[in-house]
Amino acid sequence: MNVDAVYENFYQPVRFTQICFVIFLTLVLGGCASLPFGPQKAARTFPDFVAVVAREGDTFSSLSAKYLKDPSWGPLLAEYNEAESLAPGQPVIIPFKLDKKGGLTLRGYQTVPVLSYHKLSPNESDKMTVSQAMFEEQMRFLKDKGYRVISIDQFFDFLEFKSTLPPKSVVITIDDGWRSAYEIAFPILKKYGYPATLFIYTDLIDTPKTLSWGLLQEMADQGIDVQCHTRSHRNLTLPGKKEAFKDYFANLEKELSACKESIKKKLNREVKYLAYPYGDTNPLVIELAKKLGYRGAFTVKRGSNPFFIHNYQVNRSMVYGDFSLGQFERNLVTFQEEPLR
Amino acid sequence: MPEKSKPPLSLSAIPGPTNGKDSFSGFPERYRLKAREDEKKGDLPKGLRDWEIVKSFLPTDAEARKKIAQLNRQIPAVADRHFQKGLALFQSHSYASARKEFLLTLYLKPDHAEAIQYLKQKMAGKDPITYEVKKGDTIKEVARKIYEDPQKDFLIAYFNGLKIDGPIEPPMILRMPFLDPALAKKNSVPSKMGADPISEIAMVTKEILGKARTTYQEGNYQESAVLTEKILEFDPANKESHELMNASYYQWGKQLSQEKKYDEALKAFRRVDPGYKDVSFQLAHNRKQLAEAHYIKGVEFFIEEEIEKAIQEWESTLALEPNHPRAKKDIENSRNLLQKLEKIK
Repeated sequence: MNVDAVYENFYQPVRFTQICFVIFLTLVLGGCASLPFGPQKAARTFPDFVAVVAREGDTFSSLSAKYLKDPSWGPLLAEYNEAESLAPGQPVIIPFKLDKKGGLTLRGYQTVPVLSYHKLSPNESDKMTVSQAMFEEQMRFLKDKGYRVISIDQFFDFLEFKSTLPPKSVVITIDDGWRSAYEIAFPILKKYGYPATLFIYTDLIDTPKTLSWGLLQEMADQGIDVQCHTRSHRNLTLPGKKEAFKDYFANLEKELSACKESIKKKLNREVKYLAYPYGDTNPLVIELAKKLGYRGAFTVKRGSNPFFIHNYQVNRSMVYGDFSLGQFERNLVTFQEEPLR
Repeated sequence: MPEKSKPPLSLSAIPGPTNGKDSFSGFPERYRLKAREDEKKGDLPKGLRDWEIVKSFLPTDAEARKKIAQLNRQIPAVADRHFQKGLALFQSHSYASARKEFLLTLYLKPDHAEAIQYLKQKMAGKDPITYEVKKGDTIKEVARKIYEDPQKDFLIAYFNGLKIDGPIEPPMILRMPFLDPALAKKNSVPSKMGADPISEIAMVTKEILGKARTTYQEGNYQESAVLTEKILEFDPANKESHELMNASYYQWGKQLSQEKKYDEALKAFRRVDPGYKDVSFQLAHNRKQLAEAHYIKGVEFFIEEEIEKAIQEWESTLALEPNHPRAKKDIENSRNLLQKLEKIK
């Protein structure tokens, strides 16, 4: 959170004629100890917060933009001040550090949806393919409804109870490494300024229908995170019929380490996150992911994530090509009511 | 659903700034009342926050100073009581109630590391197995004890950074993963969050595969081929889908061949695995038929005196059947003819 405060006092504009009138009154009523009116401060700054008296047109988002340099903290500011809207003259406290780790309140806790896309297409759509128009509509919907798309690192800081997120935070991920991630999703994500994460399985890269390392580099240079979806997309929980346990384990190790190494080598980027193929995992795979230095891993179990979700079993909600906007919205749960008293 | 924030306390009931020269003169009283109300409701962190606001406005306010000192002592103590209560509930397997207590602990004391650990690790039942080495233990022996299989010694060595035949001594603590649900039940706290549902991708795959099978049975081989290909795009190891894709393209190819659409038939047969049924024969047969079709088309162009188009068709014939008995000769003759015609012009 950017909490570079604007340490300044704001004064109501005072007209020249009013000043003259004040001087006149001062001279005429020279014996009076104080003036019955004068310039009104609209903000008063303290080391930890700024106190503000709301003026006409102020909203929590506009105050958040002005003092915290980020309008997306508006809803959290509203909650802090226990008000839904502002009226002129209303007192407001704006803390420089809006610290609400895990989005935890006595009413419940924040949850963060992680959306999972696979393939996109210019026109067609089916269960696993989202059309360009639908993707654009969904991204616009996020913007219009005030959702804040965050990076996977920000999300994990939240999961580890290290930082506070804006209340309507969402993560976007795209699996596999199909070319449509570059041709369709990338321009739209850039248009809205959204960060996103590609989970690639490295055997799929550099084929005619898929992304090349060159395209991945271009995307990575422009804010798209590239993370691991294993090397070959095998189901990590199922040993092959003729695969001895020792070979199964050695192959698992390769699936998780080769993918990490390839991305590091080709894109010179650190790989910290894993998306399990088919969303399937087991305790052995989890321990292996930890051992190999992954910070967390994703399933495709539908649902939003409270901060206390297990770091290696993070939920993701797959977005289907036949979703209506209403169905899409149902996957954007950002708060779980659970009164703690 | 987006969060609906309903203020638990109406701030309109608390005085705002009074009209006068200082817009902020009402702030301390406002937050003093709010602090008392928050404390009364048991929301101690909010109470503390409000008293700190009062103190910022009135640094020498005795009540604010006293309350801040009191709450700074009280909050960690209350947090710890909730944590202890949570532990007791956890140990008696009342996981939902335990979670609530751990959450309350964190609400009061966000840096309570143990509460975080219980919420994130222990409640999920995902802790690895730990084993305290006893005198005389070897890695093989530990593998036998934990996994009932000494051959799994390599796992213990791997996860503990040890050499497989290296010594282990007390009081070393070894950590190793669970391997199957039966073993996990035997050695660990069972999962508190319920069993994981079947992977959603597996469910989608099943649904599409079901649809593909129906369309195949109805003789709509093209549709079943497309559906199985879709499955294989995101589930490349799906054997059932792979087999159905082979069958679909094979049958579709035969259908197209019967309709004399040899070009399309060839494309379909090329999608089938080389060893599948008599697909090699089908490929050769359709290639020959298509080569012949191009040859006949070439003859038709030749008769219509469209010699260049005729040559193109015969070249297509040769591309498919390099040993075609007539195409090569006809191309040579036609090229000679074209040269002669060029000279006459």
